[in-house]
Amino acid sequence: MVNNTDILNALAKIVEEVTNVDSAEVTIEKSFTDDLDIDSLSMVEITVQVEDMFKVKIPDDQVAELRTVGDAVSYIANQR
Amino acid sequence: MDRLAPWAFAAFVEANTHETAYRPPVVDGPVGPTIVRNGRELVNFASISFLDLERHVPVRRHFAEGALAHGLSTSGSRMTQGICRPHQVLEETIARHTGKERAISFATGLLANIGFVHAMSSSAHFDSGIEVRNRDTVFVVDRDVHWSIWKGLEGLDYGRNVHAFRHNEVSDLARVLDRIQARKIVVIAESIYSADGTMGPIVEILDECDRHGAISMIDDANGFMVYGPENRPYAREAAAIRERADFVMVSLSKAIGLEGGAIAGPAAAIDAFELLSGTSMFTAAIQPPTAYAAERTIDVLAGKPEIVDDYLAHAARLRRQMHEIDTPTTPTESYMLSVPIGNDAAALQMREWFVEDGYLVPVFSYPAVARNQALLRLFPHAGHTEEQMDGFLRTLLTYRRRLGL
Repeated sequence: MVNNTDILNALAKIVEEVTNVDSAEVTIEKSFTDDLDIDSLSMVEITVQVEDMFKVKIPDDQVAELRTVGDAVSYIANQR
Repeated sequence: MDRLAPWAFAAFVEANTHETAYRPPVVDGPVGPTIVRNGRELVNFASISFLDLERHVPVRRHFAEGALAHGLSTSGSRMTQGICRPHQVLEETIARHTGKERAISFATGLLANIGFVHAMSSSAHFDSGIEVRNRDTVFVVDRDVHWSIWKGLEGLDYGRNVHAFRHNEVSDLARVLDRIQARKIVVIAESIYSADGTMGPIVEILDECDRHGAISMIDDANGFMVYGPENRPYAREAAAIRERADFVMVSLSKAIGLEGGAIAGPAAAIDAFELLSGTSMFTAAIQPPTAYAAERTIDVLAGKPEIVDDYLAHAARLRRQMHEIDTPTTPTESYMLSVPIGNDAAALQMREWFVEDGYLVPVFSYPAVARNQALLRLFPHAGHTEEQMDGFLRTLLTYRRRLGL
């Protein structure tokens, strides 16, 4: 059973791989754009990797709704 | 009922605050160091054809000779009729000057780039059993590559078959390449980037390609026939493009002062591009007299290096003079001058003032660049007089003071 902490850790690792932002910085309250300075191109790469890893589908219009890391963790948890 | 209403074109145009953006001003006469727009003569810092070649090469006479000898149109596809002699000679000339086995020309540089991406990522099957299956190609591109490359990549799967690395950051390229597991990887970067005038870290990019077994394509639209000789900047990068890059794209609308583009590379690939690029086979080619004049111009530029040497000295002088009046420019040694202004409103105000005072100066503001990172992007022109350059510098200084920059 994968819990939210596992999802967060895996997401943080993906964010680090794609953007070089330290995974320790990737915490649930952080905004992808405002706090982590992740642009739309990188968000697409992150989304693709998340989809592959968690076997979920995140539609493009949904990606824009995932403002914070916590939003993304909840979304992934709910889709699984 | 307006059946076009769902497209919202009218609202889009109306919302635009810059009145000239969608209805370009009308230009009369040839474009050069000055330009006549809507009946007014302006000193022109916007021309991407900057060498004032007619002073050195009778380009228009060559064009007329080419038109008389070869006609005005190819009148159809090279795959059905054959390739016009001027195109064949031009392609051989481009291959020789880029140090590649073969070259294929396209009506524009944009079509060359789109065709390259298409050719490297397409699958085709013929009844005779011949086939290529290259949908599994993975592209890794500098984020600031030209729109045409991004357009070519559009239908591919971003995040899987397409990745981008931060502009001019080789460490980011290495990071992306490290995590990709693919047999066919193509890295695309530019030599001189139009937006900021910087030269890409070509040698280091090619090192990474070697390390990861990736194919390289350098878009040398802005560097072709400008850089190469040891006495000019970027000789090291130009040598690497010539000797190490697998493919190179060149434009004929920059230093060559005409129109058209080409991809040069290994013979077998270029032969395959005849069919697989799509943008060669299914659209018009360079007009024959343009191809004829382009080949003559390339040979003249190679034979009279002082034409480009003098121009580069002229551009370097303008850069130096800008620094002398404390006007910062993007750090690069290229002939393009980018002057950061910052505030979008100030930059747009400057553009209006420049036109009022008789200068055409391109301004890049949002959305061409990030918000409030506006810049002036100038092409010094070989035909500018000292008086025109001095006048421009004085005017720029006045505006900077007026705006408190």
